[in-house]
Amino acid sequence: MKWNEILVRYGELSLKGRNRNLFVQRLRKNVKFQTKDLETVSVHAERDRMFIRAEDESEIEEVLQRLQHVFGIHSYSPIARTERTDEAIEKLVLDVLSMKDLTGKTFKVEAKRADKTYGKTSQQIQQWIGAHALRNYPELTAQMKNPDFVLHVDIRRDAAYISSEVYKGPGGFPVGSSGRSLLMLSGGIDSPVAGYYMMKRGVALEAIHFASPPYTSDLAKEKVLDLAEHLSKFGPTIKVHVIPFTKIQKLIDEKIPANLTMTVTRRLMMRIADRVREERGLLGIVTGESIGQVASQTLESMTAINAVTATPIIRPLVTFDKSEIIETSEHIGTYDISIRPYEDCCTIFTPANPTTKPRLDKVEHFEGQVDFEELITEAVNEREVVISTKREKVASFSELL
Amino acid sequence: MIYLDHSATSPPNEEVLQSYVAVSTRYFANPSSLHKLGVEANALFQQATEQMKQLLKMNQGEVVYTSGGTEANNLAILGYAKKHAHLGKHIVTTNMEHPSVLEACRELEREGFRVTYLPVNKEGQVEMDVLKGALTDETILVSIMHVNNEMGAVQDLRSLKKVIQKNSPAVFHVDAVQSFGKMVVPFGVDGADMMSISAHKINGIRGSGALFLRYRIPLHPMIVGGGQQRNKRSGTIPLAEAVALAKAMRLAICTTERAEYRQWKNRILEHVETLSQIQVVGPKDGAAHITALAIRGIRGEVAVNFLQQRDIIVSTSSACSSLDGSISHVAEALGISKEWAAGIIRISFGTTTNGSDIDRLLHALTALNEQVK
Repeated sequence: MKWNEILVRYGELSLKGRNRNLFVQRLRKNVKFQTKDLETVSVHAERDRMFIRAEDESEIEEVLQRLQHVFGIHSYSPIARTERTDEAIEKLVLDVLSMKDLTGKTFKVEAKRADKTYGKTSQQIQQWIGAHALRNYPELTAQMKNPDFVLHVDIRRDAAYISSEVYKGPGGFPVGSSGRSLLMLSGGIDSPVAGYYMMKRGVALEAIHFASPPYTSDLAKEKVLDLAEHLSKFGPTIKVHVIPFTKIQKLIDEKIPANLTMTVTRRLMMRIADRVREERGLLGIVTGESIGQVASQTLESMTAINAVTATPIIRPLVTFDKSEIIETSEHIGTYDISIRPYEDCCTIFTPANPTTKPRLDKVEHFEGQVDFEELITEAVNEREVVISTKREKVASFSELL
Repeated sequence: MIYLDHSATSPPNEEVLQSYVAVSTRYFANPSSLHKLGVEANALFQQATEQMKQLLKMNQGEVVYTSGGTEANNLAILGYAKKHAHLGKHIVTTNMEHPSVLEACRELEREGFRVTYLPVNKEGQVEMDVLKGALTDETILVSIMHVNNEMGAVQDLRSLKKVIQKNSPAVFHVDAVQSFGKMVVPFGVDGADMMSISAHKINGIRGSGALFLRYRIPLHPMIVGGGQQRNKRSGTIPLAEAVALAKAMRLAICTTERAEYRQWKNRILEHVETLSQIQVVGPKDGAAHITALAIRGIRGEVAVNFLQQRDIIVSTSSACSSLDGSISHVAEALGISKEWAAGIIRISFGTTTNGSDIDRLLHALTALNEQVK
């Protein structure tokens, strides 16, 4: 027996009245993008559900794996199809059941007939199929409340469809359905997680990273690109803007009192990010900040840093504990990349005692005495734009493995 | 020479050896180093790990490289128990485990843990009711081997896992040293949470093995130092061993047991039926690659010598216990009578075994039977 198709149930997007069509089309596009290397896969989106079909059974298996990372999907089920004759349906029911471990399992049958001209009512189908399953698999027990699994029988105009597995999707909205934003990607644990949550709410991302060679190495940059590439698994490919930041950091170090350098650095990063955001037509700036985690992430610091722009700065992790963030980063697979031990530009010029409660007037006073404008323009213009998934890979080790 | 002792050590695969040499020569840098060469070595290390995870269909989880099966078993049992003692101090295992499991459990008993050593039935299997009866809310770990190294008894890991999950909060460790590469090892939601394997049992390099963790299971390290391998096992990362292990696993992994092993085993079983002084011990439908025979009235060592004179290499019940002369704890666990228990030999197949080896073995067994009559 083989699965013929996958039924995809939409997530929250079913709630969204007139936008629904846009969401469904976006989800369809994203599913197609995620399966573009699978040749026999085709995607058919309907108003309230989507069907993914494939000629090649192994491709169906592969799609089942990949769907767990496609946002906008509430749940999905592999389905087998057959003719609408009694014999064919009975045979397929047994085939579907034979693929499961049934010992001690409870189940119920749920039947639906979209085609009301079919000879039996839903009630009758349920009784018929339930009895048929119990006769052939005595180890099963019928149970209406909270059964271990539900056997779905769906009679449509063209054929009968049977399924018994339900896989949970990641929920959220299809990436791209809620606009585009710029993610500040440092290389730490938090920012990729923040990006993940934005994508879950349907926001497509570009990323910005500040590099200060030779204080930061190429490896630190590679790490950020690896993170962006990994995040691209959850939606469209993420472009990374790498900003040369050495000159600005040196100037800050030289001209600004030590306890304020951190705040001023963040403000300049924000100004540069905002410039790039504007140029790229993106809507918001996303950071991985969480209240109180480090000196720059107190409410006072956030206020002082935020003052440079009116652009919405979105902080999806603002109330998360570090342990919760780590848990998510492990779950989405960015943790292993994030913990690679390279210096990033935030750690190298860090003063011993950065103030946790910077006063905006003071910050503006000192910052006003230095002309950063020219360097900001230069940094934005000289940025390197990397498409994270299109890099030359280091050596392939396949012959060794 | 006919080598029928693959369960003690299997001959290294040529390709695996080549990888080992190539990696040792080309990627000699320390994978923890920050420079280019270190990063390259680390990338290779990550890829080897990734390959293993894919082979085992692990989406999450971890691989801890060890010096072999013994260390992997030690780390799973001691490391888990020490880290989770606050949750309970009860461990469940069986009385026919490998010494690396049994001794680790005894160590824990000395430290105040309670260990239940489950008996096995005549087929060498743990019965579900017996396991269920032993589990409590205090049970933190159950360690059961998949295939017994001396007799070839196979445990039904899926059913064991269900019983464990229903009746205790324990994690399930499986010593899969003898089964990996010979049959499918259930690992994951419906099988082991932790799984030990050893490279040299699957035509890999001696001195290397791994413990696989289904998810990020915290373990107390047995070897402390620089904090490598997420502080679960310190010591410079053994890159060449890891790559060789990944390759050996790729070459060994299988989706069913090998049909010819089963045929050969059946031939031996049928032949022994005709011999008055030799009988099969252990379950007849056990693992296809391991067959244990008992010879009446002589010691196993004598039978090993007899067969060796005919260029056939087999071992007494297990290489690990062959030197101490006492009767195997596995034979005791299976309730084999004293008259037979002293003379047990183990025949184990591997990748280099072929049908004509079995012809010669059967011939030699007939001669042995005549000799001891």
